[in-house]
Amino acid sequence: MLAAIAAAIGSAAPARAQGTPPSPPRAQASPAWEVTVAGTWARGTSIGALEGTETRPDGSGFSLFTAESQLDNRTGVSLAITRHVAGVLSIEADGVFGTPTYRTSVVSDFENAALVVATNRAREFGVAGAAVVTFARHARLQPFLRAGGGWRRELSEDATLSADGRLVIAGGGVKYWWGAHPAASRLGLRADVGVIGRSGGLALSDKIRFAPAAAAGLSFRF
Amino acid sequence: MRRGAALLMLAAIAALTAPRAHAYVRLGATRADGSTVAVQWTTPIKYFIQNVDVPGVSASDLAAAVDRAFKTWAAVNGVNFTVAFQGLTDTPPVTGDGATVIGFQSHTDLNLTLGQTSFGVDATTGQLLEADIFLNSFFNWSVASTGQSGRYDVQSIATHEIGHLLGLGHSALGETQLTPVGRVVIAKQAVMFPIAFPAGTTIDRSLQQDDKAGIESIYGTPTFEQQTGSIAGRVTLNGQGLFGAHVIASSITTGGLTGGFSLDAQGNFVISSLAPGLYLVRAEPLDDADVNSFFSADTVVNVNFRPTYYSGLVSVPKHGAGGSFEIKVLPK
Repeated sequence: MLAAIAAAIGSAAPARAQGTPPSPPRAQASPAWEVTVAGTWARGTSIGALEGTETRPDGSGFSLFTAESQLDNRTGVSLAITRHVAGVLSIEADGVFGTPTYRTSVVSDFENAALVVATNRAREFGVAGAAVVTFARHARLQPFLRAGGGWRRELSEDATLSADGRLVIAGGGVKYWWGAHPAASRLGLRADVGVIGRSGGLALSDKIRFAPAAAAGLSFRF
Repeated sequence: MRRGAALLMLAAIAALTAPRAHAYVRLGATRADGSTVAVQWTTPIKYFIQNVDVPGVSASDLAAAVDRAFKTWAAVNGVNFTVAFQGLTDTPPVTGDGATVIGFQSHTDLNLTLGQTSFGVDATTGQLLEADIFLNSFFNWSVASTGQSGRYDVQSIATHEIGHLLGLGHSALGETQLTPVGRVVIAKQAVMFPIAFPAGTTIDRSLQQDDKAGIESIYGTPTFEQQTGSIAGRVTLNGQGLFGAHVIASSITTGGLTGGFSLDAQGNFVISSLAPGLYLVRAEPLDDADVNSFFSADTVVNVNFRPTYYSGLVSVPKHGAGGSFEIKVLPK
């Protein structure tokens, strides 16, 4: 038995200190904050017909003039600050600025006045909050969905008239992150499409009117 | 059929320098020094009804119709004045007795005039001392609730004349055509238009937006003035100011027509009592009624230009005026 033990000792590998094996690569955490600066576009909306109506002796209507009013397609800029909350959920605060144009086109006049297109180029300021659901949060290409609402104010061209209204936003988009490690990338592109709803302001009623909208810009994470 | 001018309507008031924009043509009196003062009542306005019947209308019928007409004006949002019926009287509706009387009188010499309002005014202060309205019994009258064919509706004509009694001039919101028997209304959008609808209608029992803007400009409460605004601008022709143009403002949100006039040689106009918003503005010549329906008889007004829209949508803020602008009309 002693010979067996000696053989076991003799054949055992000599004891030596072993180094700490290398740790497996750890997934890098994505930054929690994002700031996006974007250019925006929204399709215009009809406000409705404007009738200059007088009354005939029999009580029926008489058209002195007829006009059509609309809010033109609008462009602008936006600033969004997004904060990751947990999992796929983030919350976002948006500030928007644009210069919507109200347009009334006179299409007929009883006394043959020259037909005119009358405009008022307003300024719009808005703030909104939204919930954002981001898929594949650590990937280079990140689709997302977004929905929220807020407040807006319009100022007339001569800055004498201001009026408030509501904003509703819904849609989605995609973010693309540059760099070798997309999960930790600081700079990316963001594109949004969806609908934006507006009410109130200088000439809209309390009923929310929806229109297609899009935005594209740069995102920074930190 | 003309309703008849308000006598002692010696001038149209252009109170453009007043703290509050009074743009509707108001009745005024000329002082001894030549200056003009807008006329206004110290309320309550006390009035009598002449105790005279005409075929189809008794004195009490007239009293009831006049009461409804006064209440129509008093019910306009944002105005504050009161009236007090003093009873029936044998006194005719003539100026100079210190009493405000409404009644029928036969004026066959005024066979195109349905009614007429005359005033007694303190020319120093502009305070109305009395006003008298006669409805011309040369015509046939009715107080039927839905009107009566061939007869003029008492309440409709009384509503117009009481507008004068309260201090309003005529509105120019209407379209007419000239016929061998005189001007005929095609359409109108103000009770205060100087030409009445044909006999049998009761449309003018109800005030239109322009009428309301006019009475609000005289008797509007401070709260109302805080909630409404005005537009101010000028009308020019060939670079020169144009007096006597009719200007119409229409909200692109709510529609409706409110009118005003350019009331000085520079062509300046103001239209007040407007809800805040964006407005389409149109200037037109005063060619749908006699000029002396709006201004004193010796006033010269150029009507030889084309109706013209302003190229911008004009802003009306709360309690203030939007930026001034110019409507450049073209000659016919």
